[in-house]
Amino acid sequence: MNQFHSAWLAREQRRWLRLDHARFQKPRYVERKYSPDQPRVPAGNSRGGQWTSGRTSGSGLSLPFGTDPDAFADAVALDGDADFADTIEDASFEETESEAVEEENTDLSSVRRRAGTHFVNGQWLEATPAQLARFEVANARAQEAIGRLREVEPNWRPVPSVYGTGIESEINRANNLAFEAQARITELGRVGIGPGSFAEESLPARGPERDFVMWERREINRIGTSTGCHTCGTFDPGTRSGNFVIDHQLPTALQPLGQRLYPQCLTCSQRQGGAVHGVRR
Amino acid sequence: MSTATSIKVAPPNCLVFVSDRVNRKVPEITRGSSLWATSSCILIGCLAFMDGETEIVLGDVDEVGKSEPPALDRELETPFRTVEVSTSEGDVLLRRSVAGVRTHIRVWTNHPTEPDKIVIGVRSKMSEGI
Repeated sequence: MNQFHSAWLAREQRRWLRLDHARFQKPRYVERKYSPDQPRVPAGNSRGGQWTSGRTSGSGLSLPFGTDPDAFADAVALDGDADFADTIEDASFEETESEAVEEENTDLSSVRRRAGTHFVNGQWLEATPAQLARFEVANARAQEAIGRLREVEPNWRPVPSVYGTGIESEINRANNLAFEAQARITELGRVGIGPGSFAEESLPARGPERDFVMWERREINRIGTSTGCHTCGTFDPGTRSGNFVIDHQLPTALQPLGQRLYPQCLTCSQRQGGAVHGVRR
Repeated sequence: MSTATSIKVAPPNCLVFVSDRVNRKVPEITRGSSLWATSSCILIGCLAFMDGETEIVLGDVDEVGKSEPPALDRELETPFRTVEVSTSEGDVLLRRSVAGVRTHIRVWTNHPTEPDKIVIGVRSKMSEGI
């Protein structure tokens, strides 16, 4: 019966489990539960009874798990127990003979355990704290850029790319996403979607309508005369009247709330029209 | 009986689109002109919206055509047998049904960069104002 069951189970696993299913499962060494064999700091000092890393010296002194021996020694010295502090400093970096042998035989899995396993982008990945920090920074940059971009182009999708597995690939993916989104924002800025690189002063828009009053026209012309078209920087508005075009940002077709008014030249305004049409599709 | 339609409008971005309902490839806009075209879309620059309105006329070439040479004379792909004049925000200003999937378009403007009168002549049978 057991034999049949095993055969059935193997067949079902072949049918239903993907080949790389182990990648999506929590590694067993992540399970760190209570172990009665884990050593403790012996009685007789202030931290007696606490769990230790198991690192002991010839003098038999154990430090609490995760304690920096230097810091611990300094703290004890500050308490006035100089002898005890000396003992700690002498003891902390000495390794027992068995530990040295263990270090030599350290295999990759124990190194990884020290690095730590983290849930990143829907999968368990082994990463050092530095790698994790780099990933968080890259990911935050990517999310911020994508958020800004999707305000004007909600249907934007990054170019599909293939990445390997592992934390470094995830960092590369996040960096590339941030770069791609930022490049698109810059590209849209060049055609008048979003305040351009020459944008400085602006006016609050009363609404998305184009029913501008005289003081708004006058102010936009003043700003345009001093800083130029907010998209291309030209001081020539290109209009028959010599007035700068009053440009809502973001464009009304994309985001009609919370807009501001900038001066723009005629050609940039028309380019913006073509781009808005393309983005809206 | 006249089938031409017209509208006075101050379009956003000082620009109107002439195309079929869908499948339009927008041309690249360059400085110093008011007409840009691809095989499926024509862009016509207008008077700047804060300076006034632009009159746009859409009708049959024989009806609205002028004696002077047109500023643009080309064929437009019209797979849905419609010619629409619309804005960058997607509002349709004028619409006209046409006979074939390729339509001859002629455009007359009264200014090289910022016209306030645009006449669009097409070969068609029916038209309607929006």
